[in-house]
Amino acid sequence: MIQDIFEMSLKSLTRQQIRSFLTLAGVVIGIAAIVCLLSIGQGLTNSVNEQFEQLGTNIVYMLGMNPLSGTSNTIDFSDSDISWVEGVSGVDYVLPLYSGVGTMQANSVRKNVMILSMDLDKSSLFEEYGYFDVEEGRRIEEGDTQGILITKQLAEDGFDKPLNAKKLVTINDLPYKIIGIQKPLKVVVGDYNPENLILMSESAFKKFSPNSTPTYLMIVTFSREDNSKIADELTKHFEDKYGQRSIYVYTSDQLLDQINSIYAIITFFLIGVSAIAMIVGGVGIMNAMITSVMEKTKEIGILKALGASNYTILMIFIIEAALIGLIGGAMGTILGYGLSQIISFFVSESGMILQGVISLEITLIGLGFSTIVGVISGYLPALRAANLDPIEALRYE
Amino acid sequence: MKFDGDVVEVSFRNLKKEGLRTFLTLIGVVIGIASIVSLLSIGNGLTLAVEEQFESLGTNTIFVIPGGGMSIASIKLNQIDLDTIDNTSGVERSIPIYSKSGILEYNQEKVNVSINAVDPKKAEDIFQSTGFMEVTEGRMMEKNDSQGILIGTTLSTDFFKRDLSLKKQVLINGLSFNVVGILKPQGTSFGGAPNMGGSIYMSLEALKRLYSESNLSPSIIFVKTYTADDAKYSADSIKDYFNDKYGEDSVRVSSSEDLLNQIKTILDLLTLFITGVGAISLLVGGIGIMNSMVTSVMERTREIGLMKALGASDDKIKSIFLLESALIGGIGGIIGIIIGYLMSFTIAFIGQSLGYALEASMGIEITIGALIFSMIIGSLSGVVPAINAANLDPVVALRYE
Repeated sequence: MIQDIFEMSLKSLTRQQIRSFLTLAGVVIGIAAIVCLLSIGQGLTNSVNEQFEQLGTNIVYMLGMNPLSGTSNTIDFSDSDISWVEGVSGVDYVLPLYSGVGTMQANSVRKNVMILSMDLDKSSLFEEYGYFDVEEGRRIEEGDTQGILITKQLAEDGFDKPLNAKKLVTINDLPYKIIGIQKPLKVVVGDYNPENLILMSESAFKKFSPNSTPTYLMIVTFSREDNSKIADELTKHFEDKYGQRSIYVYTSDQLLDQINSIYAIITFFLIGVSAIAMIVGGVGIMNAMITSVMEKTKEIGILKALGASNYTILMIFIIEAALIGLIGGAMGTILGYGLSQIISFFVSESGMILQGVISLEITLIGLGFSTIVGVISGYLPALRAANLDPIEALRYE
Repeated sequence: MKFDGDVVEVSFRNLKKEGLRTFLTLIGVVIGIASIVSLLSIGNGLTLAVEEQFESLGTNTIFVIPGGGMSIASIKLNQIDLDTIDNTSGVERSIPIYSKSGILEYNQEKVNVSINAVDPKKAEDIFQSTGFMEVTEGRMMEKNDSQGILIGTTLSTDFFKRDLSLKKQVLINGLSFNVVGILKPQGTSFGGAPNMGGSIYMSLEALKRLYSESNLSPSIIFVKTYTADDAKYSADSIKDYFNDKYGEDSVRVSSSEDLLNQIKTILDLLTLFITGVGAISLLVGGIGIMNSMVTSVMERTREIGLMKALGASDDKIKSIFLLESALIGGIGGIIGIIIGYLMSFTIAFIGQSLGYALEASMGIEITIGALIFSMIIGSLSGVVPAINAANLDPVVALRYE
């Protein structure tokens, strides 16, 4: 019986080829857009998560300012502050990060650059991230008080002539030697990647800017579970000492959640907009089904006269609509994945990380959504067919 | 091709005869056009809101930001730099704003706040025209007022156990000040200035009590020129001066026009992208039109044969079906435009009541553009079915069951 119903539905689809094709096209386009956006959205989230895993998830960040009350540093972390943090239970070690701005001069051209510095004996977490990989020259070490590492963009495009390793330059009129040129970092789409960046050791930075204090502290903990407890303890200690909103503490998990929720909002918004296309596709299915029911009025009359129940008639048309949805969904899912892979390819070519995800969930969402839309769109026309009076239907011209 | 009265009548009659199908086909177009129109309208509204903000600030303004906009500004501008700006040709005056942060103590509770200092006399018109600093309670600070401070509403009501109200005395970094005024809360615009409700404002004199002059460097300088044209040239010469003195990218100098264009470009791109995604639904709607035209041609095969047998030309048959599909596009477009605007105004209204400077704009370009677009989609979708109809052999068509 069920097999008969299926056969009938399929036959009617193949009979009206152009109509079925056009109705399918509507569904395919809608589902392709949704699947493509989901795949890319998931891909973005994955690459952010991977980067965080590389840097380690057992990190608490502490800034000496609060973004809510200004952009300049409010607290200068003293050495005793840092050793207090090191003494907090659960803390493995603290890596203070220093940053500054300076005027770099090479070949009589001057340029404003950003400087980042940290204790290179403790910087192993940045190493896995590829931060100190060099393309030319060698990496810097803590003992290099006059050697710097510069980004590839700065070396190539920052000055009138490209800079090579071993080149002598000045920053704020102090002499430095370029020891290495950093390999370009792969960044996640939308991430900020400073081009004019210089890396130096902490000992070099202390000479460059003797009174400077860390811009922020990276606090490496023993386990991820302790992070929020440690963050609370730090917040309490420093707010008691320096006042409310004097510092800003966040864990790597909080940061990750924040980024993920931004991506999720953008993805959902775009999917919402493209789901509108799917509604239009659903209306198209409904229209095709109404026409199909009308054309088959006589046939329905015969079926009923031969004893087909209302339920059987209902199922014939609902299955026809569901089939349009399912087939369109399958084609749309394939097309959507294809598009997302093409987009990923072009984005990766331009030096950013993006890999469109192909997953069971997305596939099921694509197929499920299209089938549901098909069934809903087919329900009313099917009900119309089921409720036809057989005598009237047989008389229909 | 001629659309005479008969053709129009026949097209309309057909649309009416197949009421339900026409209705559903229309819905497809309506949804597509409505989503495009509402997205464009909101996008345009955002751009307009940004433009207004800039215009209230004056198109004859240049922004000078030391440090090139990096969060860690390090280049300290000195009096010579400020004098140079003032003496640049075309410049009327410059208004440096100093930002620091300090610890505000009230009732033995401490809070870190951002402190902004400005010469109140110089900045008066900026504050008035932009509403950037509007006092709801109390008064504005005065030029040599080294005691009075203005505070944001958030600071007044949300930070301390007891509200920090007018005339209360507070300590900032240990020195005493009086609250002379409370600022009106501002709406946050999308991508606009951050909410400054947690900040305090004081005169330059007052800031000098807290920090020695050698430690003070403006974080931003508003430069007013005589005319909007001057702004362009003066910005270039100020830029050259800083590039020579501190190196490239050391100080960001942009005229309000530059800045406005940058923001507009980003907003336009965003609007275009989102509208592009929205346009997918119109494409699906167009396919719907094609589908219903194909069905319509098939159902009327005999009728077409009859018309041809009675002498109707191929062109006439073609125009009947083309007009039919263009009508679906056009009517769907009109309804869609109305619904689209209704939606965008509803969204803007909700946005505004949530405190965002969100506007919907009703532009003649959007309206006409959407209408033409929907009619083009309608006609294009009708081309193939219309040609099919026109090419029918009357003998075969008459025989069709």
